[in-house]
Amino acid sequence: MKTFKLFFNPEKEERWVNEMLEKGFLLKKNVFLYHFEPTDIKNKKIRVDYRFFKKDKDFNDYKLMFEDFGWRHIAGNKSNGSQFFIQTDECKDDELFSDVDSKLSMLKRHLNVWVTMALFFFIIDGPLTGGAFPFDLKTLYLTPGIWEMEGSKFWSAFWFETPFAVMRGFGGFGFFSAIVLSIYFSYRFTKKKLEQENIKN
Amino acid sequence: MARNKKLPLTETVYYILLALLKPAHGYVIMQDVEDLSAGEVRMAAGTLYGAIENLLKLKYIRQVESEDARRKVYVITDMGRDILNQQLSRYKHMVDVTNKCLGGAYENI
Repeated sequence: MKTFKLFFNPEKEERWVNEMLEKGFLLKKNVFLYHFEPTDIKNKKIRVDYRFFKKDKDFNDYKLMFEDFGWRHIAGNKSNGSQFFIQTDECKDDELFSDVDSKLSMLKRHLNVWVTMALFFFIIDGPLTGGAFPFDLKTLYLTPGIWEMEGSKFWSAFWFETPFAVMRGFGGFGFFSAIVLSIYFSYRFTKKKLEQENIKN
Repeated sequence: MARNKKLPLTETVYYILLALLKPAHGYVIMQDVEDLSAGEVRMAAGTLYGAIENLLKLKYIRQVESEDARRKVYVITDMGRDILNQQLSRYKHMVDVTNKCLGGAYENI
């Protein structure tokens, strides 16, 4: 079974893959699409780590070390980030991370990839959008006669169009910035949550 | 004297460095850390992997050739030993001064 789904939050992705396992489907591949296969595995947890590798040797060493800890690598290749592991019978841990800092660094690695993407689009956007930004912001508004309108009519048209103008002006950068912001806020949320839990323990 | 900003080492890092006084790979490091800490510190796979990565960057540990061609094996460096000793002096001082303040009765806290 193949499913297309977009996640900007590794924790939500992890939750979803575990829900699929409860329904009897095990994740096999996560390149472009999520590939699931029917499975008998029950009562095991799937956990996600986020890492890239340059060398095959490093990637194999990484998978082998997790295997020593009782985690079988089920999906993720060396250059696509999300690495999925499932517990085996030998596994003594419920999580891949035993402290707050290492869990947060994982989420930070994920955030950094999107920040890089946004910066990349910031650089190439100028030529792509014909250099609209930042020369004449007014030309980004396409509503006919918007700059001749007055009062509330102007403001409602102005606010309505602003998100589109931002997209137009920043193109991919605007799009990726929005994603980065949403990932950043969910990172902050998780950070706070984990730190509070940590104090309680 | 300027205080070393790399100190204090966290409990886990301290035990990892202790464990790596002799060469070991990931799982063995985890077992040694658990033993050395009398069962107090149990590191999960992802946490240990990240810790090893950081210690390599800091040059406190290095990779060594081993018979096990598949698993990477690490050992402490001179820099690692040095930082371990600095941390030890701090601990010694803290224990001494605590004893002194409590009149040698630290068991009674």
